[in-house]
Amino acid sequence: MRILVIEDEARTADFIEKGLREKGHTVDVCRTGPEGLTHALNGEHDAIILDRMLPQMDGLTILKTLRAEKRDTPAIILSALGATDHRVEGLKAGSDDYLAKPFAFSELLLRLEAIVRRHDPRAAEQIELKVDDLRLDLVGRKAIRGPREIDLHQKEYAILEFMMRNAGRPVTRTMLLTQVWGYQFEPQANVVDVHISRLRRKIDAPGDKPLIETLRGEGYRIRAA
Amino acid sequence: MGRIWGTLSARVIALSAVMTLAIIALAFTLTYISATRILEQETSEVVDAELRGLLDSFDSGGPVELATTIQQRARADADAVYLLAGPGGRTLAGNLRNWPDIAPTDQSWFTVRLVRESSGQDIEVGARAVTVEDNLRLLVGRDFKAQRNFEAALIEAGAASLLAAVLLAAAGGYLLNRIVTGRIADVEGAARAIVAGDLSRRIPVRSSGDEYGRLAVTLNGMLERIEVLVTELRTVTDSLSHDLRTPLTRLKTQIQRAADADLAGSIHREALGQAADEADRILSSFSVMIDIARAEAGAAREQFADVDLVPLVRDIFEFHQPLAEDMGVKLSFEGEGEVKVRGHAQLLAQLVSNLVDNALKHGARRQGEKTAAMSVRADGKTAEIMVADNGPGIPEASREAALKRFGRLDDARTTPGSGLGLSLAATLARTHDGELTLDDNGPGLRVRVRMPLAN
Repeated sequence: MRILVIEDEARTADFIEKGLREKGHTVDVCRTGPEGLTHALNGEHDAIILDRMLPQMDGLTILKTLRAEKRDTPAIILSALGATDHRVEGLKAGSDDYLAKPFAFSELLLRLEAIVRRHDPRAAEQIELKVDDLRLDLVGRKAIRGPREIDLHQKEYAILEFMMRNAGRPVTRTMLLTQVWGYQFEPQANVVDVHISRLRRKIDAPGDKPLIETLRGEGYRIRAA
Repeated sequence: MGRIWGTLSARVIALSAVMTLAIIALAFTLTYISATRILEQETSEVVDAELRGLLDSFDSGGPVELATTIQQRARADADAVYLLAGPGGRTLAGNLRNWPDIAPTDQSWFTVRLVRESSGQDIEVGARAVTVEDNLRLLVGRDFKAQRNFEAALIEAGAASLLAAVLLAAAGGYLLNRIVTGRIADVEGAARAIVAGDLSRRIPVRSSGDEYGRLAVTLNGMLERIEVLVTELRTVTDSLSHDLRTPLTRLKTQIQRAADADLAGSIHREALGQAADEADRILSSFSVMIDIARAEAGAAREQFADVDLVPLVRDIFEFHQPLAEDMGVKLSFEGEGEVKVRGHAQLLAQLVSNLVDNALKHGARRQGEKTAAMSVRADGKTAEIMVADNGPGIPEASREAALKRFGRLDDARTTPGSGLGLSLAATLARTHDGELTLDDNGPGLRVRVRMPLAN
């Protein structure tokens, strides 16, 4: 993928650039707002990672301008402004995701890949997702494992769909909170974990191969197809 | 003295006193000059009239009658001086020894020093002289002694009153200066005590009516606010170091364990995973603290919109339902229709989520049947969200502390969580012009959030 990074802080920019290059992506780095906007308007990138507080023009303005110009390049805001209302502001400006600094590079990569995948026109055309012997019927909105249809609540279905669309990649609790429930805050209790363990009990019947792995300190992962 | 002159008020008072005294002195001098002039003028007129009278008596009775009249008058009036001089300056009548050398004889007014016949005294005299006929000259005058005495008395009185004014100004100034510097010293003393670390010090309010009293009241209000903020900051720092030391120590232990090269791969990963979990918990405590700070600053107000609380609270209920079941708590929800408030959907959801987290955490500590109830309803012009559990509750005396930052009750310190939940909820309620109250649920805790309905 070709990724545009708009970040004025040299250390962070270098850190992201190095990490993305290691994963085989092409990276363009811009250090100021206007420069970033010019590159973004060219529309040659698969995704944009941008800071909020930038010299001359802030990240939200770049995004709003971009969206007003009908450029729908998936974008993720990476900012030290991480409070709930900041996140809402960012998403309203047209960002597809919002990650607060300090961040783990692995999480940035996960989220970046997730928004790009979601944006992929092929995703909308898919009618079924498949992992091992677990099938998710996107039209009938039901899950089938082997011969057995699994009775899922609406949110359980949403969790499963999100995880299967990101099959083989870790999904963090924060990602689930924002994507499935639309919550931009962290609950005090481990509510997400309980939902996952319920889902796990439903899809893994006794004797079945467990499909959802727990990745300590990171989140969960459903096996790749 | 040096200290007194060092004060601004003393200098202002001294300057105004000096100016007042200068004006008094000037006024007195002018009065003195015009008073002496008028007195001398009067004397000169009296002398003029007498001279004319004596000339009349000469005209009618000749030199003999004139001399007789003069002798009578000289005896009768002690201040009056007369001299009738014959040829060669010989004294014919009067009470003066000899004719003054410089006396003009054209009846004009002059002053001169003369010697009195009787006492031989050298006196100052204002007089007029005239040549009555050849070899006969007449001088009539008045001893200035009385006028000079009066003038001296005037100067004495003036000096005395000036001295009194100086003393009064000095005393008044000293008193005023003492009052002003005293009040300022009150402020200074309080400020010094505060600088030295006694944040509870206040400026004594001596009278609330005057400007210094009002200033003291206002400053005390400011000091009160500062003390609250500093105390809060101190509590946060103390609690932070207390609450973070334990997880950070655990984190360090886990990292050290993971760094042990002899370990098997799986234990290695396990230790690193635990370390990551620990770091997550620390980070989440921080993010809640930032949320509280931002909510207190009212940062989210510009994103306020009309929010229906019924689906919002129901969503949180459904979100927490599986957790409640796992904890063995029967969680219920009640709410229908529409309950719209002006607010921030995310922050309101966070508020309710915190209350439910808290209710489940504490409700689960009960033996026997555990319940937690959530409800939302409109009551007049107010929306009310209620979350209640039947756990141990919070003793009435500790309820206020439970709403403060880090106000976790000591006996709850063993349960996980940063102790910020209720505090954040209360702050978020205030952000929405609402109020969070804690009540007894008999048994358990009942939390109520009341905020105004949207128009």
